Amino acid sequence: MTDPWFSLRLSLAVATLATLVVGVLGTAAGYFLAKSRFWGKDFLDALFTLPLVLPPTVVGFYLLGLLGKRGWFGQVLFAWTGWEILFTFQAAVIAATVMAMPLMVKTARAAIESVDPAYERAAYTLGKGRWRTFFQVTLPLAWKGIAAGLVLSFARALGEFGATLMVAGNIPGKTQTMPLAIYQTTQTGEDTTALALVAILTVTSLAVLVATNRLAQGRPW
Amino acid sequence: MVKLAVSIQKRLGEFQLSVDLAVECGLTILFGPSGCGKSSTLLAIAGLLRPDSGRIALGEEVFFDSARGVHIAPQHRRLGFVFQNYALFPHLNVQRNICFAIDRESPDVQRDRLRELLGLLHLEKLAHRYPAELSGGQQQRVALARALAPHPRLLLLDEPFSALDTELREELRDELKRLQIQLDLPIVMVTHTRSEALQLADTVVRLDLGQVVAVGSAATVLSSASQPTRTNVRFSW
Amino acid sequence: MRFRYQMWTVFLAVACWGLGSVAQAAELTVSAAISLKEAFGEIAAQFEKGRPGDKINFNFAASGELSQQIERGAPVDVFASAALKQMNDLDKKGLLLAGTNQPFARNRLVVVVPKGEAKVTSFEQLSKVGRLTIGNPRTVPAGQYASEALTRAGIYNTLLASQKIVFSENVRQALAYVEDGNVDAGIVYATDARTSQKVSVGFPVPANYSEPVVYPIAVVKDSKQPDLARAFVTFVLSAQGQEILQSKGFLGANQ
Repeated sequence: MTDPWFSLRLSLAVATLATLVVGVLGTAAGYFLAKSRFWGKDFLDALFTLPLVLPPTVVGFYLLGLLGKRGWFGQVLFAWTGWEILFTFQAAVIAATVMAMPLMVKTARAAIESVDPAYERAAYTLGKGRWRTFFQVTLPLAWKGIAAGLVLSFARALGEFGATLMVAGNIPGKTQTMPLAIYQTTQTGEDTTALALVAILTVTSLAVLVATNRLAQGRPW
Repeated sequence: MVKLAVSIQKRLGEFQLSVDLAVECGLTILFGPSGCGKSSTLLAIAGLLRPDSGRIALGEEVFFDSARGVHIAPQHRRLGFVFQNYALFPHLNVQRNICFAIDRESPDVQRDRLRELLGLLHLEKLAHRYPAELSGGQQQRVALARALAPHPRLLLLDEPFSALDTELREELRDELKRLQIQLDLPIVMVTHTRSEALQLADTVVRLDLGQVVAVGSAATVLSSASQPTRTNVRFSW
Repeated sequence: MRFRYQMWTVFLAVACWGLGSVAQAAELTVSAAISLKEAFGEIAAQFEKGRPGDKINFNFAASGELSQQIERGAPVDVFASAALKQMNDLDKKGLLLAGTNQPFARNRLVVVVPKGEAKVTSFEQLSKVGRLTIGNPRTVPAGQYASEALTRAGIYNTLLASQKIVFSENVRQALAYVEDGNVDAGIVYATDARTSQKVSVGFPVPANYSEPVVYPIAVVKDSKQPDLARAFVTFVLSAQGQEILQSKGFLGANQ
């Protein structure tokens, strides 16, 4: 009933998609926090960091309240589209995204703040607007930090358990990611299977992290 | 000749910048001790610093007018800016730094303009180097070429020679003057070095404590005996 | 730069391969307490055999988490809980199909010790062990039953006061503490004790020492396939379903 290869594929798909979403949104949020000054900025920063501090099941509980058919977002979604998001692949992606977001926002903000604003000002005087300046100057110069954030986010997403269990459920063959499969096998005393799953996840994570680290440092294979 | 008119007020912490000047552009030098507000004035002209109130215009074109709520973004002012530390993009080589402003043009246009600028500033052999591989003087020439690439209407230079040793300074000053005449390009340059002002300026604007204290030819403005020597008061921001 | 594009290509390929896992058909979702995994796996296999085309999906977690999900509107058809409390809460809130909430199995508590250690055969002996583990009574149903039984035996407060009790966050963790010899004894369900070769049963806790350990099952009100859901519940309660449950160490619903 627990198919380790399915769970591995699912975990990789969830983590990859979550990393893409987190990469875009987290970098945007990091840029926003680094560049703008406004009242309540510290509060917003803390809000982004919250999933890092709270126990994952608590985050899962909040997400349930948000996405459930009786939750305030889930309600609207269901009324408009008739689609229920809980217990789906998408719910797993959302859980992983929320849990990985703090790492991305933090590292992206630090990376963007470390870029000397003189380069951005130079780009403005050379006729580039905010978007072009960001993509042609800020992003390349902050790339190492942002790549590190992506690696951390991917790792976090791959290992996410508590929030995923709450909103995506633990449905073998549908939403059972590797961490959930490991949880289930340890809970039911299938120690041999659990060990095998742990080994697969460990090896995969190591491989992915080494590869992405090299990518981040701009080194070839 | 194009006229640059600047009349702005800006509060920077404890410091009050209140500059009022109008110059017919050849090569204008904003001269004064450090902390007198000359760099801030330059940033305001470029659009990188937004004044609290006032007006900035180059010829017919209004860059900033608080009364009419006009503030043209720096990227739309078509001004060249050479920063004190040059701010060359470290991830781009000389060629791509120079073509940065014109990278939306066709490859042919870019190539021609690049060749022209490399020749003008004697950079032919350095096109593929990265900024970290260049000497200070070379960096300065690349920064000039980069600023000139999109045919700016006015070139702004912030202490362009301060990072260079004396000998190189002399050489590059001559080159700048040559360029200005050759290209017929109005230049506003900030310096706190008297000899630089004397050697280069068509017009000198002297600033002190955030205000214009004298405007005129280098000889008249800089020879006036009443030099306020301020070693005790330093503003920084 | 080129290797970077290679990396992105690899990433995309991995993502696509993974996304292949997402396709799905209409199915019955059964949220079941994780301790029921083995028994329900077999029950589902038998159920599907008799009804080709119907597919059971399980969602296994702790009963508390499962009831939270149902309360927030997760698309669940059948709920099988390891404790009455969660089920009755849902029933009170009107989230279950009326009249479908009923017990389908019972369990009992046993005192276990690490294999090879001297057996503990009475509450009196249990009160003298060095350390004892039970589930956290506030969050783990098995722990709540265990604390009731220890109170009834008159040794709970003494054990608590002498700090001999180690709370675990689920039954499986309690079992692991005993298996590895980190505690001298533990109170777990008979069904859990059965699954481990590294513990031996000291003595069963008398049934009247705590609330009966009842497993209720019900059809969720929002189920889109109430007929299929009812059929599954009926099958769990049938002789065939009960037989499978008993083969895993559960007691029948009405014994």
